[in-house]
Amino acid sequence: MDWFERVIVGSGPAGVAAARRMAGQGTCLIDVGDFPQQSFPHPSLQSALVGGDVEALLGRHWEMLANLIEPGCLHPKQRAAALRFVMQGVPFRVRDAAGEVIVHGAGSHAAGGMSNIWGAQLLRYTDDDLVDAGDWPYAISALEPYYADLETHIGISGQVDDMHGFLGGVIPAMPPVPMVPAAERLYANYLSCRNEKTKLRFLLGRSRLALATQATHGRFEHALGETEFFTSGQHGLYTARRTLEELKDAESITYMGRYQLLSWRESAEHVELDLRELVSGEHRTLRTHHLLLGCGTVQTARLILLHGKEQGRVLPFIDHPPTLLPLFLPGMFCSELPVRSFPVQLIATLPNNQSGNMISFYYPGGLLWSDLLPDIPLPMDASVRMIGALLGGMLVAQIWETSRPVPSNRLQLDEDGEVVIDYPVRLRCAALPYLLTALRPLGAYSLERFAVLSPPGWGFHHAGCLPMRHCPAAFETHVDGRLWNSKRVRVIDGSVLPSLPAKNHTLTLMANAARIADEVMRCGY
Amino acid sequence: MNHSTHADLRQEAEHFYCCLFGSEAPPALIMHYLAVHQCLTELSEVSVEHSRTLRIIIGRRLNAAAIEPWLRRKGRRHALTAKLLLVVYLAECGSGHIGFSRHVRVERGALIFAALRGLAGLCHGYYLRRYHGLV
Repeated sequence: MDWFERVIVGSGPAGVAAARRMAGQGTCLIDVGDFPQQSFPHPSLQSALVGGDVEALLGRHWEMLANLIEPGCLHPKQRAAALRFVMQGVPFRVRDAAGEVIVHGAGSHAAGGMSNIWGAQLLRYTDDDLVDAGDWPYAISALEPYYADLETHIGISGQVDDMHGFLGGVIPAMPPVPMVPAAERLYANYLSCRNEKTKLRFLLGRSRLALATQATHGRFEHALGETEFFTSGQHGLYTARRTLEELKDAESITYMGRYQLLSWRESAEHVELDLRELVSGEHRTLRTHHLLLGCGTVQTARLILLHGKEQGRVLPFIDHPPTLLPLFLPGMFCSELPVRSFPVQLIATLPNNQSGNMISFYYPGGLLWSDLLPDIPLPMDASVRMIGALLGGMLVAQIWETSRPVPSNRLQLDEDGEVVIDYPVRLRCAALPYLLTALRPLGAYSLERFAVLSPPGWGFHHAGCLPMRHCPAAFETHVDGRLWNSKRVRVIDGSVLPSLPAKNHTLTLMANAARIADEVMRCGY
Repeated sequence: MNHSTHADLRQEAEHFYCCLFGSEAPPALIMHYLAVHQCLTELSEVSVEHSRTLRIIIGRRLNAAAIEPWLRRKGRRHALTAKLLLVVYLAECGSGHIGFSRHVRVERGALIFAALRGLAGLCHGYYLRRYHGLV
């Protein structure tokens, strides 16, 4: 029987962050580990369009057209043929207040997990964030050394500006991505209003992205070819897969790809794991002193429920479904669109609003423009002729608000052992009217009725199933990641975060996983 | 549920392309249109109501693009919306289509003209829908 001092399950952001801390010391990383079978064969979206490569753009089996009949349930990144490999795992479904299934999802089987399709925003939480969200068992100072270490490892682009304090004070290593005309105008108007001491109701700055805007440390600069909605693993865009490859190349860990964890048994001396090889179906057993589960919030929760044999048990579930608001800067309509761009452009917050909030301003030009046409209330022949001109003066504001556990939003297993998430309570976006008012002096306009509440489960900012506490109850975790009833099994992914401040949680769950890994190293058994 | 034949689909593609872009559909686009219908069976299995609407629009050579905004709905799309959208996707990805020229500056006058044309199209579509009883 194989023996490892420590075993991590999952190669997503949490898994690799923990593996870095425990590298070179009998650490094994087990992962279902799919790699893309297809790749996008063009350096930019423009070159694929000019070349008329229908297969690359729409998929060999027309995967990109999955929204023709049922719009909205699938994120564009889940439709792309070369990104489908990310979510081939155990399925789950999300139901609304009426019990209707509003989202069909699946766990990630990809090496690098869900980071293969993320938006690349890496943001620190602050003490204010934790106080506002509530229930966190420690102050942010506990994570600061881990934030700093990860930021150096990943390489963050951005700049020091008015959002510096809100974003946790990191000094970005690389300059921000180039701005599209609409974002440039919005930011210029903001700076001009601020300099004229006009009373502004919000703070605006450049986003912090895990994206190399210049070549550093032998790594490539990102091509900014607008291919984010078509492929993963682009040079210069960080995903957990990069760290996994580095750890494998340096032989710092033992990597067991294409293995699925089925169950485990814990004794006083060790944990025994039952694994299944995905290709051959062969079963394998190994032992370890410490098991760290980083399979992603939903899949870890499923494993824990199956392990506890508590079919009827209900766990809390928190998501971060963002509100999407198209913004128009009429003065910028008909601007020439850039040849190189990246979706995330600017970031803002309404500091005086009661609830925590963060607004990301996206440039939607890197999508297939046909995706946007059904949202224009005009005949499609006119919309086709207008869309390019409109996009010159358009941004999409993605509004994130603090999410806290709500008793009726919950996760459980059905009789077939499949995950069902009930998410009946979806609060309306409280920041929306304030944002519309705040943007008007900057020449950006929209209407409240244009806002779209994305369905719960759609944004994949999942958390809170096994919240960490100083004195955990059943199906909760200790602050050092251990399950409530365990000495050797820990949870390191988003499921231990007790609430979600209004920011992307990836950097925090990585920092928390690294912190728990250090606890394992220090625990003395 | 009604199923369309290849000939029906070819006629659909030609008519929808003409409504959207005012010219003859490229053969490659028609080929792709048929291939998508073979692959995505939901697109071929059209309800009786929707099928009637499609038949009237194509048989009477009505302006499908003008009628479509009045048939848009939340949730599952009307067959007309889905099929027009398919033609638009195929046109966008087929080659550097004139309507989708990226990184080319559009004059403000052209934008205003297109918007006014769109509004006129909406009025025309409303009349067509009512007159022909399309649902």
